[in-house]
Amino acid sequence: MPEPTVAIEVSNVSKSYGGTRAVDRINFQVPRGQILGFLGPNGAGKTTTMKILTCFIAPSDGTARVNGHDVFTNPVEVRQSVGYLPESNPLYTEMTALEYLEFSAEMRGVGGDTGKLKKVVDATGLGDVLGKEIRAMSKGYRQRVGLAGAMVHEPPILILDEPMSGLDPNQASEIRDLIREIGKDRTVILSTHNLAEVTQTCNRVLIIARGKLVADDTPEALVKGAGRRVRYYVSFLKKPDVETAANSAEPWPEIASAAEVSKALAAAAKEASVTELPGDDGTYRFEMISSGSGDLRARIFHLAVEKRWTLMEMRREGQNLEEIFRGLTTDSPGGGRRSADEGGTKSEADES
Amino acid sequence: MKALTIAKRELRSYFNSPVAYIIVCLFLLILGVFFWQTFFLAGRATCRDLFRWVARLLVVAGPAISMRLVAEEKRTGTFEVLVTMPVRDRDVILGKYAAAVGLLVVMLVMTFGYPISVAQLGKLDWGPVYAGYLGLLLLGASYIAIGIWASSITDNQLIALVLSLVIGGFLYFVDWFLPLIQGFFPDWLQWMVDVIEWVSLDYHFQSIMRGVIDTRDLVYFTSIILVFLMLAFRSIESRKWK
Repeated sequence: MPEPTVAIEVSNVSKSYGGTRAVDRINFQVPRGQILGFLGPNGAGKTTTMKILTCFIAPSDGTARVNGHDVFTNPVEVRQSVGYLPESNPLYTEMTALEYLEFSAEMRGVGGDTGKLKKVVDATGLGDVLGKEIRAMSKGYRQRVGLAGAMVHEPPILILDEPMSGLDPNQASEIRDLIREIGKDRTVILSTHNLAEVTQTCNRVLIIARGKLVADDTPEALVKGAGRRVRYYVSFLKKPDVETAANSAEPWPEIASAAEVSKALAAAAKEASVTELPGDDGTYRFEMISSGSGDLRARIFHLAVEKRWTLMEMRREGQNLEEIFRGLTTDSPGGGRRSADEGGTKSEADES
Repeated sequence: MKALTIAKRELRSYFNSPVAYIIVCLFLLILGVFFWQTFFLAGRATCRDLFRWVARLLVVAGPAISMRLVAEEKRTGTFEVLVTMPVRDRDVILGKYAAAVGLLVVMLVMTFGYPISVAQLGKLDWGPVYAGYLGLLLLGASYIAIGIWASSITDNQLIALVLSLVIGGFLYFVDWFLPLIQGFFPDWLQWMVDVIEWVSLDYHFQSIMRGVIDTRDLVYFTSIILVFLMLAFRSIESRKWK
């Protein structure tokens, strides 16, 4: 069967639990081969969307197609084309890794195919622990077993719900490398609330908040597009370096106080707010947040030259993904009900 | 095919944990005590009492076998992994059901020693023995069907156990009270007696145990099994719409 170029197609999908809308008219498409990061606070609807895509639950409204199969009419075909790792990675812990993988392979229609089994064992690095009971394994290895079980039938699509949560940084980076490797010839959707993971692993990000999609772009474009607020970190030497001062004909003034610099910086860049940061012993350090589009670095440099201050550090930073995330997922559409909405998200997070 | 894979895994999981051994041992132990207590008093080479005791013990053993089938997987979360594998919900239920019935068969086979010993002691009529085992199989399979349904509506094994004990126990013992309450039915309600007899598992079991395999009894047991399997299937399917 020719594989469709659109791996996942979600149109107008909603899901209500009782009276609450967990997912509210979501639309997106995932082309083949993409690694898609699904971001959002707890209770935003990530897991619900993934459960819909794996036919664990049905949408209340709308349709979804996975690998060309409809989740309503062809659930078994959908699941055959998907490898799914649910949140918290539940496993039959009384089985050994090998028993579990054999079971998973048989259930996914590739039982007895030792070639496929061996391939997935190699890819996930499970060779040494195949005979070990899963309950005796570390979390990192359990995660590998879960992943191996989900992809033993070489599905074109992988859906991973928080695959790196609860792992220590070493394990997390191993699993991340593994996912990147797997994702070379597959479509992967992974959900997370760790933003560093997204920038490192994914080539596209969906941000979801309160059941709605609020952003859909590459991680780079998200950061760039949200460049309205740029930060500058600047620090000046309090006293000029003794050697420099001695070798120079002209005098190098000492800086009297942080306030003096702060005032000068504010005068040089009117669109920026200046805050003093704790510097190390010999320096005054400032953070400037600019809402304008111009680059302040030239002006800061000229200010330093004019005042004969010694510039020790000057760094410009676009808004990072974390801030974008926070902005997108806590700002209410109306704007005025921000605090009330924040209260709402918080209590949701507590429940889950 | 997938159902078979699930059944295999379930059976292995029964025998990987002490639960199956405990259930089977307790069952055989209690059965032995009850059976030999009365056997020599009666002084007849018959297995009728054996089957009565097995039937009563199955009221508890059936739910004990089936209580974990779905509830435990829901509790640990593996249920989500299982049903999102490329498998139909009905195969999940059928596979699990087959495994539990498999364990029941093991239990029944372990009681073969009784009729064999009895045959050494006197002349045993084997016809009713075969019929008795068929009856026990159907009876046990009914309890397990009730049990798998009870297990599918909760993630708590204890609730599943109690619920299936209540339903199974009611269906089994309901006709025992018939002689007591029969007198209170006015004439025009006498048809109730027939209804109560008809819904009673014990009534149909006794009927098969007499050695007459009546289609009505087979239809009864098959209906009980199918109805509860269907309910169990609906119950795990309903997760989609909640």
